[in-house]
Amino acid sequence: MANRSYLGELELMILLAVIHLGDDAYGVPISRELEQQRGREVSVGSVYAALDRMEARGLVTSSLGDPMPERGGKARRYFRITEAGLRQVAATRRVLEKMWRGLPRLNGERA
Amino acid sequence: MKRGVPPAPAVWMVEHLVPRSRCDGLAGDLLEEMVAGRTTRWYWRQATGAVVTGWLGVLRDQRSMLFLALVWASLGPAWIACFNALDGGGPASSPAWRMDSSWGEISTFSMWMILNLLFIWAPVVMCLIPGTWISRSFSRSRFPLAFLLSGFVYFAGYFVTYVLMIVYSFPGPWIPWRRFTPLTEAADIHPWALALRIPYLLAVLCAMWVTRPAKSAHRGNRLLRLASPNADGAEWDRRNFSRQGLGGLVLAGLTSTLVLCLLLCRMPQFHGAFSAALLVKALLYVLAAALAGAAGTAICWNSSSSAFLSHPPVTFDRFAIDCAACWVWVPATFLLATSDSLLTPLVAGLGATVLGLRLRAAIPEPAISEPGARELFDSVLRKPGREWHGVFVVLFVLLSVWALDRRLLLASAFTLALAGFVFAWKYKDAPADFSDLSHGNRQAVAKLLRIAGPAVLVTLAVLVFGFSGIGYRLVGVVNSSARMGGELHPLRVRAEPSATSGYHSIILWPPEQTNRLILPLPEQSLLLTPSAMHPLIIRFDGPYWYFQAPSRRPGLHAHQELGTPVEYRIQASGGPLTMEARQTIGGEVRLADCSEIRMTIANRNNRPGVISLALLLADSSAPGKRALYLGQQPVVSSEPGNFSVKASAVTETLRFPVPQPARLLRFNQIIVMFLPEKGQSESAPEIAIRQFALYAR
Repeated sequence: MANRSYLGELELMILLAVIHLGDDAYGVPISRELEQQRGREVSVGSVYAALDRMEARGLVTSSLGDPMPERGGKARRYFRITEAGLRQVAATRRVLEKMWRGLPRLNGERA
Repeated sequence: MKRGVPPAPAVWMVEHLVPRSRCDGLAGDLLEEMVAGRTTRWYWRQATGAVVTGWLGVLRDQRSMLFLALVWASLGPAWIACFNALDGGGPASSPAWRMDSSWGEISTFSMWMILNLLFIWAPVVMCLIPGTWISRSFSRSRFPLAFLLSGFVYFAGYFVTYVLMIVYSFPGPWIPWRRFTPLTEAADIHPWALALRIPYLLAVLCAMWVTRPAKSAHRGNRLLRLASPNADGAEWDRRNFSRQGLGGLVLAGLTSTLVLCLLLCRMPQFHGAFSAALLVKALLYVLAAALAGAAGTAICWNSSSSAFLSHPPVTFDRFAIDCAACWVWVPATFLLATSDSLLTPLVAGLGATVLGLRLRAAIPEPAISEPGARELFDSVLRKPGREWHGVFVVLFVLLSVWALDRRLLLASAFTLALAGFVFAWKYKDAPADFSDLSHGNRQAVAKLLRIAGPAVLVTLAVLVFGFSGIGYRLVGVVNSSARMGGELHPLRVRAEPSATSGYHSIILWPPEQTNRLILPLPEQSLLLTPSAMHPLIIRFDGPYWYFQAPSRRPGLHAHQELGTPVEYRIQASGGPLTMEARQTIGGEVRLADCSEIRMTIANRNNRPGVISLALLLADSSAPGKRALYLGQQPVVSSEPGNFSVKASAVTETLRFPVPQPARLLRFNQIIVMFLPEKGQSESAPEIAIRQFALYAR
């Protein structure tokens, strides 16, 4: 099976959310960030699935915090982007910018 | 329901049905969101989505396992049909197999369960255990649990599908198993065939899931690792890995190829002339064998437990191409084995030798320790190790010859293949390093094509000529006692003392109704035209009939045998025994096209006396079932003047001229009547019919 070297839409958005949240990036704020930006509900399970995939590819790392009573004794799982993840995001941004640059303004787009 | 408190069933789903790696973080996050004001409905949506997404991810991670389980389960009905065909009834024909009645005896159930567990565990043993052993993560404690669990899952799954099938097609489906062959069953999409596959799929998945090793920590960019062994920071020696598990990969490929040959490869009913169809068939067999071997190796290679997935000694492409050089010989070997030809071990040995040479060319020697660690003149003073492989090669060759002499063709082929592989492996020099592995694929493909060409030609030759008589003509070691466990088969019919007279009499059982596959005739316009150079060869595979007066033809009380009469002896008391052989042709031959029929027989009759064979041609489709009598010919090797005690069967050809068409215009059946002289008629002659050769007019 060929190894994927590109980011999907959800993966890119999650990585950007992780970068944006910094040290406070765990499931709840990541999902809220995505909901806020996309304007529709996000499945927390699919966020975790994408984060697991990216962790296997070395784009993010995760660590468990302390168990918290308000979470039923469950710990938070914090995510951080790696150097490889940052490179991947930068490369994707370059490609997208290049592709957008040559396009005329689309219908409904604000200046 | 309290606000901020999630529903208990949904919490249970998240905590128990979501994969463990993400369960804790996810459950805490969902609870945190609920406390923050989310609704119960939202929690249910999230819980369901998490379970589905989680298991889809697991299936994606284990896709090779899932694929193997699906493929294997699809062969479930073929396995039942295969066993049914081999057993000729028995457990396979019991109601439990057919899903159309209730179970009977415990012994039948036990046999049914054992056979199913054998089938379920075959892929696990074939693929997962070698891989697990390679990666050193084998846990014996899991196998009893997996065995019991898979048996339970199969039984429960079977029971549920059984009940559902009865409900679906009340009072139960009628499944005509005897009409099917393993090949047709492999692609059967009838509802009951699909239902049969479901318990197999569940049980195979269960067995694989429980026995799967821990996920390898080295998965990722395999090509990167091959180019740079230390790219992942771990020290590993590619050369050491190359030796371990190699046998498992080769075995997986060989098993896949053999399974494919078992399902696909068939000798043509008629041979004797080259045709484009046979060439296409040979090409198809060789290509399919190569692909099946590659698929089997790929499944084993890509299983999560395989060390080759993380630390490949060579690229998979190169490995598969080199192994395919051997797989292309498997169809020819299989067809020769089914023809009972003595060429089987030779072709098997050739294929194994090619495999040894190709693999040796791809995999270098294991790393040698640093020269600095040795003493001066260490390599000179050290005693060379004993080269046991030479002894093994000689031993295997001797075993092969012994097995050949006993007509144990498969054993002979196996041992000669081992000898060929060991010899080639030791004879061929290993490459110096891995430097050209990524660039050698083109050369390997070229070599594969050079090897596949002769393999196609050999397969074609086997399809055209059959070579079934080679064994008899070259050695003539038709030793029936060897195949029958050292003694001649006694009476194949049951003899019981008569209650009234005290005499022993023969009981001739009604013939078993079997459905025989009759292949259609090839293009007759090519075979029986005046310009045809070759005769139309029809290999005899029909039944032999034994019956007594007053019957003049096989009736309800006739006894039928499908084997060869040189390997058993049939006697009767209380009257002369009549023997007859019938060959049905899958089409009609015009009598005007045929000038002569030559019948090849194998004679092992050791009772002196004149025996004649009479030939009749019949047209079963014509009203009144007309027949044409072609006369009778004596068997020369049994005549008193030429008689000698035969340790092995003597081959002889009898010629029957075909008259100009008279009352019979065409025929689709050849009947042979055995006519011994008086005094010999209480024992059936030990004469087998090999083939008919039809010559054009």
